[in-house]
Amino acid sequence: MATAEQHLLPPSCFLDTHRQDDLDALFDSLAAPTVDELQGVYQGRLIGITGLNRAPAIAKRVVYGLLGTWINPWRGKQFSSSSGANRWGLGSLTLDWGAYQKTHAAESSVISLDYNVPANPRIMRPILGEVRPFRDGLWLARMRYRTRNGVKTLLYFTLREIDQ
Amino acid sequence: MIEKLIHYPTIVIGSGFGGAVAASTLVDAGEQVLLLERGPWRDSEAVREAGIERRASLPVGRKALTHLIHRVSLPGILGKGQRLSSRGLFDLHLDTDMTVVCSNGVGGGSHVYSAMNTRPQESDYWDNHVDGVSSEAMDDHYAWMLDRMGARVPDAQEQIPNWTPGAFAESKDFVADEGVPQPAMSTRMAGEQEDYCNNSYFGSANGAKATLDRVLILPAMKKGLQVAAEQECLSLWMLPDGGYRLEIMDHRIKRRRYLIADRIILAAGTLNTLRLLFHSRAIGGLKGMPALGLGFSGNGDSVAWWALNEQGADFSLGTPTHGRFALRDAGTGKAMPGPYITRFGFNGVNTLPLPKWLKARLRRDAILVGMGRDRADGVALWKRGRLKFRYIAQNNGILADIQAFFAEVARRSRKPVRFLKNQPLTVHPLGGARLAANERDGVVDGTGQVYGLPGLYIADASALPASPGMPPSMTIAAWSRHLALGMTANKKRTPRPRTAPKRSRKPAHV
Repeated sequence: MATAEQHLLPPSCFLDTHRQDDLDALFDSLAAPTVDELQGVYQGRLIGITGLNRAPAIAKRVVYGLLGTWINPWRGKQFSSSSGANRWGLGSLTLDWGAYQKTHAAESSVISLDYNVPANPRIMRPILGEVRPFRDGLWLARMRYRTRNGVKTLLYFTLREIDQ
Repeated sequence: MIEKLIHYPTIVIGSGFGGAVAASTLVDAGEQVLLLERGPWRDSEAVREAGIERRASLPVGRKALTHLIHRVSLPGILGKGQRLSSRGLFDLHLDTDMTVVCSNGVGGGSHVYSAMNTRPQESDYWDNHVDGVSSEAMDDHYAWMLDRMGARVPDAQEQIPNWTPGAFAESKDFVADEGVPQPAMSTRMAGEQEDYCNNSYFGSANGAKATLDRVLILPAMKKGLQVAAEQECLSLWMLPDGGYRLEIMDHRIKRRRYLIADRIILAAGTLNTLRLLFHSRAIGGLKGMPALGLGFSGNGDSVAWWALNEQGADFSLGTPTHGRFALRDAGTGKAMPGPYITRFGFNGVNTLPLPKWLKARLRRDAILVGMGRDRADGVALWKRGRLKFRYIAQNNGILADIQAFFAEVARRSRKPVRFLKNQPLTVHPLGGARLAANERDGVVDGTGQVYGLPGLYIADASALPASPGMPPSMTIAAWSRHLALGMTANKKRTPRPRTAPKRSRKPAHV
């Protein structure tokens, strides 16, 4: 049964029509995490994918809606105290793959997910995740890619606490 | 115009009678305020003189095609509303129980209202709702606003075209003598002919009508008020450590941006304030407000077309409204008691792109507008992202009284008076987030603050506790003044410690 607090969580599709620069502005306005509360399994939802910025709102809703169904095997992320991995699944089968180091420096305004770990293929190592709390039980995150010309944002996603 | 910060102590949303009064009062008290307005600056004399370059024309000439309608909501497929033109002057919200018309632009309703500056029908309007709010205490606020607007009752000697006391002086059927008090009006009445045309519901380009951009907003900008036009607030999010995040659509660059404020004064007009509160609650940004939507009223508004077709007449001239009138009692020659009825012409018809014969015909016809205190028993609802109104016209006898008046006008004048019998239409929607003694009955308390949402205030007509039964602009202004003065007094008494969370101070997109 949902708790009273869960009723206050926004619908999962509420950021679907945001462009990536809208999400940049939203991310910038979020408070920095005071403590690293990311522990356990979180349900993910993709939004703000590069390339879909100029698509009409209705097209974005359809695409992100479909990516929120079973046809997208990415389920979200799981976190331990200093590391974590992406969670993939099909039906009841789940697999954790795509590991990262989780860091939250005291002076940092984000929780960082650094994919530069030996377990990952070389192409994944430049990936850098950044997470900020949106509200209780909901986090806004972005996946960035480090290149020689700087860091590019690839997409945004939300992470929603789920009961185990 | 907008400073490159994302954090503000106070943000006022909306620049009509609620927002402009609150913002200017706070700025006078030395507060730092950002005023957001979804519409553009209007191209009036005062705005031009102030050097504001980005202006939208009033709907005159061919511009009427693109600058008349801003947004339309229909009961069916366009229920969520379709924005037709960012520069349009009017919003049309057509619903099965009530059609609502409101305006869009810096200065809000002052551009399209008829400049009638009146107090409520009942002298005890503010009494017995909540502690700390009384008609006596509000009196100063009405006086302040009437003074700011320069409102006065026209003099019969001023020879104003179509002014009802003169027009009906010899009439056996109608009367507008001292027994029918005329409204104070904030419009130039110095006898210049150009001031007596194109000065009403399509705006007043030459400034003959006092509008809030000229009277309050531009002077407040000289004292530090920041105004961000064409910035529409889409949602509000209460922050865990106090304050609010605002999702803003910047219509100039078609991008969203986000602002953070310690305090928000919501004054977007009843329609948009309710839309914003319902939407923000539905997406989880705000909580509570169990009485949101209750007490919705159309202020008894009723509109009719009086097809006089009077040869040689030009009813499009005069003050924004021709004034009040009543039925004359055949026995005593005095005014019969009845609803508040005013006559208008098709003011501004000369500027519209219409065939000459149609303009000539419309100049010979008049419009009747009735108002009265209804029961404010309507309900605003939020269904699948759409704002809906439930309003039972039959429950509100004032509408039948006004329609009976219209029928009697038709009988006495022997000219048709046409109106929609079963489709209430209002330009004065109010209530829905009303003032009440507790959160079961209303949304805001005696200070204007929303129950359970500290720092969120409502300063427009949606907070009114009942229908004033008269043009509500001065009542909204008085409420907003009360609220803003209360905020400054509270701040002096108890300086609020700022415990803002660690937030990014990066420049916002402008």
